[in-house]
Amino acid sequence: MPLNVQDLARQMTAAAAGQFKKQWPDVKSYAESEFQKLAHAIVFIGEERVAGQIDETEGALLLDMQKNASRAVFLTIKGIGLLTAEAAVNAALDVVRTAVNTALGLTLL
Amino acid sequence: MKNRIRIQRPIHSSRLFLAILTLFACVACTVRFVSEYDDVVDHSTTELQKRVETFVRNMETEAGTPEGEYENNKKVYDELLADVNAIKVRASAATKNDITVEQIELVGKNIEDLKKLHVHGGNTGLRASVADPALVLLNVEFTAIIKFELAKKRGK
Repeated sequence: MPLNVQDLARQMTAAAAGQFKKQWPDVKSYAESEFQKLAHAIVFIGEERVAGQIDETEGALLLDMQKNASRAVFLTIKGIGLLTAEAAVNAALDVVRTAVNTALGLTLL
Repeated sequence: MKNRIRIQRPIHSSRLFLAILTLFACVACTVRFVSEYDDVVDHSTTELQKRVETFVRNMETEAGTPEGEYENNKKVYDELLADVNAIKVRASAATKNDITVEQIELVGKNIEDLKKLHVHGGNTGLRASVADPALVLLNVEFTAIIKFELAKKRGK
């Protein structure tokens, strides 16, 4: 069955959305754009291999590059997730800080 | 002789005081899960991306000629990998920067793979059918690094 860019991109996006539920709204457009490029690269490599434009060694090296690039994208999604969590924690600490200062009637913290 | 009454403070009150002091210190701090934005990593990665893209495009143009063969260009790979290492050293100096460090390592791995593709190409060099997807994948990695680095600005 021939590979389809849109189907592949959709599957990659769905897998990532399932793993990164909380931070998905923050990374959705970035992830969709990058998965589209990765899917395109995978399909291109497959087609070139079938057409004999690239050999087995070249196909394997390109798929290794694709694996590394996919990992880089997932790391960015994970990193943005950490930043989102950090912002949430600091927002909560700000609330406590404000409450303490208000209760004491001075800027203690 | 006067009876001396020693009043002992309960032990737990000093611990409670320390706990409150620690809580105040925590509330006064800003929590960081990720390192701060580094403009050197940002700009160095952008410059490296330009060098890689320029090199790959040149090699595509020279594919099939002696100028396009790996042997006449191996010094470029050494330079690119040295640049990758320099950015990695810079990123490693910051704490809580493991994600960026790993992403830079992944760029290094893909440049090594690109080098293997070039070697394998022999006198055909880096033809478009190999160079085009390789460059797309390297650019995905560069975008990932820069995207995350910019996010570390935290809206500043």
